[in-house]
Amino acid sequence: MEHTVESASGEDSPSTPHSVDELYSIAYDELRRLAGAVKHSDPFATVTTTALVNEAWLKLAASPHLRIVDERHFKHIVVRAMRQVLVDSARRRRAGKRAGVHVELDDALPLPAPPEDRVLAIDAALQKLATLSERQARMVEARFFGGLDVPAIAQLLNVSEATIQRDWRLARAWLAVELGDHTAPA
Amino acid sequence: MNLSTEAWALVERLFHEVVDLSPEARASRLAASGAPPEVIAAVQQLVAVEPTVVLDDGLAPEIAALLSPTGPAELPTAPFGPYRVIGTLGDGGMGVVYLARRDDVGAEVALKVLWDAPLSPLRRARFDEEQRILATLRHPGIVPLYDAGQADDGTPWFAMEHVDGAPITQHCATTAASIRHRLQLFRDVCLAVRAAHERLIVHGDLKPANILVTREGRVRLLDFGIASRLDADDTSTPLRHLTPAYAAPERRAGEAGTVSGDVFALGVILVELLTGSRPTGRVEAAHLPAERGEDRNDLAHICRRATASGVEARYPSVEALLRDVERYLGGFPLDSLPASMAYSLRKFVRRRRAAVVAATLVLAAGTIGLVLHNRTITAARDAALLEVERTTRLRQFLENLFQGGQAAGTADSVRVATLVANGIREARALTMDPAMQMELLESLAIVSEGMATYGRADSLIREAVAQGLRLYGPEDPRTLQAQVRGARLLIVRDSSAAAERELRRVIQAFRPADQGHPAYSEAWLELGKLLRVLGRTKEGIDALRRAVAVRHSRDTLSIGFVEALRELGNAAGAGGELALAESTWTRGLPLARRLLGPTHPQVAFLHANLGHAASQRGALDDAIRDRQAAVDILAAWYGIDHYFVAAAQYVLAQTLVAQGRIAEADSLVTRVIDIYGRTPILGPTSPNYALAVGLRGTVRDRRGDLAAAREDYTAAAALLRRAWGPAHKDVLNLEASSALATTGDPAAVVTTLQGITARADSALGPRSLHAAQLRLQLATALSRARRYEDVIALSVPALQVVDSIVGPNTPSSAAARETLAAAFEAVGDTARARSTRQAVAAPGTPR
Repeated sequence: MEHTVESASGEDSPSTPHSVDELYSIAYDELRRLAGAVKHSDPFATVTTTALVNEAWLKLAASPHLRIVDERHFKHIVVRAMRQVLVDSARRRRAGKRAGVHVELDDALPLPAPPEDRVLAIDAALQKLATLSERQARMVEARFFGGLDVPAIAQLLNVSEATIQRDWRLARAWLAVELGDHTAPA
Repeated sequence: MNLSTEAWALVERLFHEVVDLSPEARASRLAASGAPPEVIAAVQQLVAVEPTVVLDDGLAPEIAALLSPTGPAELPTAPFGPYRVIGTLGDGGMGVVYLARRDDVGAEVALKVLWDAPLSPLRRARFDEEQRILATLRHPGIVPLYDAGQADDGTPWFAMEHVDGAPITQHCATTAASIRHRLQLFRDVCLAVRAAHERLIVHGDLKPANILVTREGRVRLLDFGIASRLDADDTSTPLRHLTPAYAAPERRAGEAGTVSGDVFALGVILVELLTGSRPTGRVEAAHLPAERGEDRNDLAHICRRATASGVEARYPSVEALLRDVERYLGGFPLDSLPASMAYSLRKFVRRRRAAVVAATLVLAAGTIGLVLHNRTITAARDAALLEVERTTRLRQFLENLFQGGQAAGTADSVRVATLVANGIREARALTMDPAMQMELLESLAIVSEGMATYGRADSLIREAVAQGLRLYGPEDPRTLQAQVRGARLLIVRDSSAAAERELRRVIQAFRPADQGHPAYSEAWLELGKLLRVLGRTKEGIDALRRAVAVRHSRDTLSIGFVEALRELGNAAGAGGELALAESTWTRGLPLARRLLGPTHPQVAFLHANLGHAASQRGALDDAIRDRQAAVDILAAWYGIDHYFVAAAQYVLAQTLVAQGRIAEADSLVTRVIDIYGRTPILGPTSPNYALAVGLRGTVRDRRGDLAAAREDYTAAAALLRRAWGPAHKDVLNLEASSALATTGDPAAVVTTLQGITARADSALGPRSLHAAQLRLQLATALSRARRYEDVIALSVPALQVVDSIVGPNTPSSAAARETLAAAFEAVGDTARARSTRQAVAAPGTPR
């Protein structure tokens, strides 16, 4: 599964890999720093993706030197960069674990999936969703990885908020089925 | 759930139709839809799941878990090279900084680690760049890089000094430092930043958190994570966020880091140091604390100028800021203009600001890459002259460029490379004004030469020559001038023979009526310098005499004339014509003072030369005075830790040794060794370093510490041998000194020295000064072996050689004369002993 950052925004305006890499680098460091800060300050803190990513997002958006492209294009890149950062990180972590000693655990214990598996599962599901509906996939991506709220996503995708609400309702149900991440229906 | 795109569109429509219906209504609506069974099944599943989905809390826990390399309070356990992490120092953009320990030697370091390096090539490149920059910057005020490597999983790291200190502002607050002390610390910060700028590196994120003061009160500049190279074409922006409080307005508006941006940040830090808080508006004297002996008006002026929001009103360089701070600390009037005048000159300055900043940078760039050699400071002198010339011409060029207004858009950029690139474009586009075009091409060639891009300089100068031939013809001084510069490039590119041919051709081509043109003198000057470098000193002196003579008839008060005088003096000095050298330098000194000001390095170099001449003829007091003057001027200009200063101190220490002021010489030579050792382009294997160690050997020798002296002599001789080969006079001299620095068997010493003098005779010629001086050393050994007849037989002719070359009764021969006198006494010839002693007592003639 290869998705490049540029592909998120190809139709908007041309972008250079350089600027993308730059955003990507900043996104990574900001996310990492914030995530670290969250854990260091309060391991039990319940933060939402929105809160976490939004802070990184605000910083990125407030950097004038990054205003290399128009607003929407910029947001697309940032969102995709954040996704890529997380997915790459998860892959590396999983690869590292595979190389290590594997401890068999009691299958009966309902252990939560390790974070890297969850991120990779969401990524895989999103790729599948993208083949069904590009818009819905982008919407979920913006919400999960970009931390954007409904009005912001509507603006980003250039559709009405009502459409986003509707898409979200369907997409999250679909994701829940895909991820097996729901209380089993009767 | 595997569906086609078409099926999904149907699922989507049906889902929204039925999701809010009762289960019964839903079932019947779906049944009535006529959709394929798999679509209906999918919709049913989605609708059933929909109310239970708990996805809305997003990915925060996953992000937090994924992106911390380890748990919240855990540290990485795997080692990084020889280092083991024991704590966290900082976690910001571009890597995490850990406190780490090297167990085998027990040292603690700051270890910077780039987690997940493969994620982004640019991030990795930045990390590597920071490491490279730190490796380049060896300065006592900049945190040194110790080590670098990759962990087993490929994670890159580098180790720096762990600075156990507090941010500068905090340090000043907790120690309740006086204004004077704060300013002294600030000056040290400026010195460190200037050292970076001299290597064309802009820090870009100066703030108190990045400037620590150690317990010993030393300043250390950290974190070059977003530093950038001014000479790089790469225009990438920093990969993290600036601290806006210290960022210059133009920086906050999104521009890349510049020298001027660093000046602004330093200004804010200065205000914070003085007042305890960052400036909120115009800094007034009343904002500053009153302290006896401090002039708040002057301080406020420095603060205002450093933090001026417009680049053109700000100090053009850290050097300029530093000069004002140092002047203030020294109680001198400020260098910079009063604010009211600055305002009226604003337009003027704006036109020139890029020129000024760029010139400052090229000046700095020119300082790099020079290597000093020999006991004089010829190379340093040449470098300074080159700088003067280069800067003068560069300024003219940039003024021309910017006055025309064609390049107004580039004025914001101080990247020299950009300026030059733009300049070349401008120049090539200037077909309407070919004369101007030619001038620009020539100037650009000089700038390119200054930036060591010789290929480009060469092609530019060819264009200029072609233009001159078209416009003015082959005999016009303007064409010939371009050709002189072309020839100079040939010299730089090591084509001496071609350069000589070209210069002689150009000189021939000048019509008699045009020989007053500066280019004519310049051609002779270049030829003279070239011949001298080629070792054809006599011819060189003749050529330089011509350069002086043709200039003299026109413009004596010009840089060109001073240069010609200085070169002639140098050539004469090197050719043993000391009287000519001294008179030429003496002529140049007042001119240089008037032209360049009394504090200019070139004035210092003339003093150093005069000191050399004075010491050669034994006028040690004069020599010390001149050499001290050189040291003072250079220290004020370059800063006390600059290697030019060390070079001047080295020769001063030599004279002090000759004068018998051993204690003073000792402390100087210790400093010199320290500075050379820390200067990247010299370092502890350079000839300069070796010579300084050799001089320390002399100092120890004179103190009677023979073992230590011998150690120094031997080390210095070994280093120099590697650099200059076994037959060099200084190598032989040091080996002789090493052999003599013993109280052991005199016969063995004699044998060793006989070997050395034999080598000297064959390498340098038996009638050479240095071979004669070595024979005098051998005489010392013979005297210890009580072979007095041999002493006399050897010393008398050797002293004649020495006297005929450097003049009679110089300090270098005094000791030998005393040995000779003692030998006469020992063989019972008291009359000749007395006459020999009398010759020693006669003082050298003062200037």
